Amino acid sequence: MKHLATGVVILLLCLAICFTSLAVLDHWTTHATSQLEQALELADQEYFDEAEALVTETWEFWRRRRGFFGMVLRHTEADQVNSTFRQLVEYAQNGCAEEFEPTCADLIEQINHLCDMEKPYYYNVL
Amino acid sequence: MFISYIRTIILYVLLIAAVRLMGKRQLGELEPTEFVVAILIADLASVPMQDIGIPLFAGVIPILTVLSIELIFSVLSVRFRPVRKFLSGSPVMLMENGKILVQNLMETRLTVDELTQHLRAQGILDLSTVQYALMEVDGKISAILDPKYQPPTAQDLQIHVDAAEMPVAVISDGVILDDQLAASGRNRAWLDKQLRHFGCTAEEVFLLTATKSGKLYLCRQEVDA
Repeated sequence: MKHLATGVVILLLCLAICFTSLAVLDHWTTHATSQLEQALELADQEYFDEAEALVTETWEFWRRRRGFFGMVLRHTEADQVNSTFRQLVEYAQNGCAEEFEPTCADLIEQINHLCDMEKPYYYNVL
Repeated sequence: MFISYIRTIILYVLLIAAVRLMGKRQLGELEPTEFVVAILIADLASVPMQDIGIPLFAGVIPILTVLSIELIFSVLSVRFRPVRKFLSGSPVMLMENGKILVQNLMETRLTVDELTQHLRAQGILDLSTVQYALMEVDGKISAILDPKYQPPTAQDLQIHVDAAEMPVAVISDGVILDDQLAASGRNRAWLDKQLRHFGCTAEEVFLLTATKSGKLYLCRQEVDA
């Protein structure tokens, strides 16, 4: 019975860790993408200073959580997001709407993809 | 490099803990589920060890999951015969009363050369002397000789032999094991007397075992030249 209990406890613990990390990742990626969507709207209306401030704030939000992302995501994926953030901030600073908007949309897609890859959908499992 | 180094230590400790948790069966008798687990765990550990781009949890969570499933299934196997049969199968009779059961041999996909090889490894040359030969669930072949061909036992020869005694290690690698000494019904005074008889100190002894009846086995430390 001791071994059975140990097995069940470990299995449930792993399940709890998986659900918790998914919930936290979902929450933080949703927060980041909603801010980026706001930045995209601001850039669309040519408020580049506000867009830059929002993107910088979102990037800071992302960097503060890099420990968690490092534990849960592949490092290449996390590095890719950081690299795109850096580019986005540059485009916003330079007021380049033609580069800013597609890059921002791309970054939103990347971040959504990171979260989607962790969800237990059938196409992820298979 | 440093990351790989630290991860290797973490995963090594985790694997040792996992194998200890699964018990001695895992080491001694690799049934199908245990064989799968052994391969899986080794593979799962090697991936985050070598690829530092993958999170460590990507190795730890699968290892813990496999470990927990193995623990659950091993307990269910013990308690429920259908589970045991499903996971491990049943032994298959290969020979009976000196006759090879060809159909069963073919079902196990064992050739007659392999069968005779396994029997030879157990010291059996003449197949007609085999009463039963079975392929066990872990793939080993057990052979029982016809009693006519089995070596006689002390009982058969009506010879009285003393019961076997379990020796207890009282000194191991120069260290006196007081709890073992007490378990064997001895004390330090007795031990000192034995060491004086052997002309050595406890530190000079690699192994000293004693049985209840007082039979001793001494192996001295090897001194570097």
